[in-house]
Amino acid sequence: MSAYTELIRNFDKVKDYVREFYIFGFKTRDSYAVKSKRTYDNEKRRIESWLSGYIHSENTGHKKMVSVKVDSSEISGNPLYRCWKSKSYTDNDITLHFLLMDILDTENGMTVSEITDRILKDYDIMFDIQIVRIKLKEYCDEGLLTACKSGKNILFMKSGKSTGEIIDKYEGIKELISFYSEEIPFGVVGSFLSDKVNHVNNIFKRKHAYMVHTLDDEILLSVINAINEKHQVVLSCIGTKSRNIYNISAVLLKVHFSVQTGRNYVVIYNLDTNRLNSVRIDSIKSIKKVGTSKKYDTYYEYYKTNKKYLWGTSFGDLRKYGQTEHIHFEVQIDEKSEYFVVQRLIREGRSGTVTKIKDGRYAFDIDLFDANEASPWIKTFIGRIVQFTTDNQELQKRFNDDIQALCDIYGG
Amino acid sequence: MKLFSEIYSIYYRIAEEILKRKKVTKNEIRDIIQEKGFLETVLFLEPKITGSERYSLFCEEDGIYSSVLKKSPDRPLTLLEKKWLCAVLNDRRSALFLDKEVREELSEVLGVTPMFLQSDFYSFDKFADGDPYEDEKYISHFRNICTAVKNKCLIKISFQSAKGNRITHYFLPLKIEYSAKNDKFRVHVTSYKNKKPFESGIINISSVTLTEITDIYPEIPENLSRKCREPIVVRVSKERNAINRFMMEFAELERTSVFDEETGICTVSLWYNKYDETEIVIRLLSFGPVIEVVSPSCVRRQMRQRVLKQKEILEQSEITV
Repeated sequence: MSAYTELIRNFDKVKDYVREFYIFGFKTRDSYAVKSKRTYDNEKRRIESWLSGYIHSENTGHKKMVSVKVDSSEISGNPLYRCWKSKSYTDNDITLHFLLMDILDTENGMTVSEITDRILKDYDIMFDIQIVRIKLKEYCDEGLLTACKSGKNILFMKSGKSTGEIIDKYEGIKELISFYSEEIPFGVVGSFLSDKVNHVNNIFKRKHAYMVHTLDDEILLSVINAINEKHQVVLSCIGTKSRNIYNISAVLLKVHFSVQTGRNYVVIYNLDTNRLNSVRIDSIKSIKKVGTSKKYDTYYEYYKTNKKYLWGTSFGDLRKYGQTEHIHFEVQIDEKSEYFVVQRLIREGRSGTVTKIKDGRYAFDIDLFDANEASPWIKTFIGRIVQFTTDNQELQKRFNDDIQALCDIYGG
Repeated sequence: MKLFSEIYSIYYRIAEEILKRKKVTKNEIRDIIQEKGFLETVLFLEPKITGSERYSLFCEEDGIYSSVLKKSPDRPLTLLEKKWLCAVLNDRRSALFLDKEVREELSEVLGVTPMFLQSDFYSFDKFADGDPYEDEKYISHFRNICTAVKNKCLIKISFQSAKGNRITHYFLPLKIEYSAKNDKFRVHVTSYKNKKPFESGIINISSVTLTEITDIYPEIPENLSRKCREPIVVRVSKERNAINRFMMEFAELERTSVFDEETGICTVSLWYNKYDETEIVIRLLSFGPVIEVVSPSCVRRQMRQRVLKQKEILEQSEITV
């Protein structure tokens, strides 16, 4: 059995724990389906170390609950980014990293043999030439080095100016990096840059920030690549309730972000069912590219045509695919002091239309594939709704029942 | 191009910091690790720098550790970093930080395709009345406020209040807040009376009509938090996947939660900013009867008022719900 270390090789292994600690925070060791209690204990210990200062433990009976407690409006940077900075490496990796950056410059290229010899001569460290070659290839892929042919030789050199030189040259770039570091997606890259130049954000803070999305950035990068390259893919997903793994053959069309519910999706053309669908990004475990989709543009046009009937991401019940459901509701307001309610309808109503019926009374109308999706938003107008009708009978009944149930809870 | 790479790791960052110092003592090494590392990093990294099986990057003489490097360590931008920078330079909000010519020059220097395009994403529930990021006056006010936050100096701001009044005052801007939901920047400010911090407030940058930076550096107010004294306690039922939805939606707030396995009820305490109370009440209403606000009484009262008003409307005969 290998000894415990603070660093990890595979990010996937730990991200579900971080998510559970951060989102729920009430689960105990027994709630996790893991190979062994030691696995749970090791992951917990790592996360406690990475996120120290944000971790809280509480005992419930004999069981311990671990949670990550953060108020996103009170912090200067997303603490979950620290998890991305925990990749393990070997002694050779770190030694070669600093030596290559020390030896190479941007103008005079060196061959792998010259580099290996220089390491021995100047630093008195002997490396197998193969190890040096592998590292050079890796750093070319990462963009730290470039390789060019000179006769029969391949010369390696640094790929450009240092990070510090570029950042110091442009006034305002540090603030730009500070701001975008907390943006989704891929804000963590900005955090890498800030680390590199020892810059700390002390200007910006966030409201309505879903920091947990950073955990899905690796998958999201594959999603974006598949979209841009118009690939057909096989998505391997995990059921959010059942936890079963299932595969979908699909073409990925657009990432749909929610800035209010904390859930992100990718809209797909499902090749198994020949319909548009959406998949939660945090449910995707892997993406396997199958090849380029010849019909990508057709699917994308089909999505674009139908987008106006989406409230969020649902294309509705399988049996009623392609059919829309109408919602009509009316609100009453004091025209002088409560006009902000009408502004809310316009600002938040997406593809819906707002019509003035008479002074103090306004109607909102919309056609959607899935009227259920708009229901939470409509409930935010409780206290002002004078009429609510929909041709989704189930929703009509549930809406009426919900109002009654709320009266039972708060009305007594 | 990897996102999870040791190149960006905290251990590499610490090693670089130590290598930059050229000569350091064991105590200094420990201090750097403790300052920049994870909680337990010192246990694992210190022996690799000062122990007998240390990295070949360091040599030791009389308790002083020195770098074997010839130059101060530095690396170029990685492809990932370049592509990310190119992507953010394409975003319209980047005009707030860099002029068009600078953005174009920088994009050319970086010389790569962007990591993503804004058109790859669609934020379906973002409000439709976001700030005017391309407006020159808006950009100028934003930059002035940014400078004043950075320099901690007073700034004269004129703005249109929510009630339509024009207000002009000297403020200390403390932080600029961005909301992805509202697509708006707001500045948190403190006003002063007799050179003492007097009142705190929030100004929408889109409502600002004038900014003038001063060279006055006032006393910084101590407790800036407008956090509630008592959390909102909510009982969330299992129905309609409410626990999952609720915990995700309110993940931005500091919370504690306890799950009762017998009843299937999760009791969540939410700590919120007092400025946001009405917004939180509206968001709680959107969950309908699958949640119940237990306390504090002022928040429960607001829920009750809205529900009773709805009940009153229901009871009027001409209404069909």
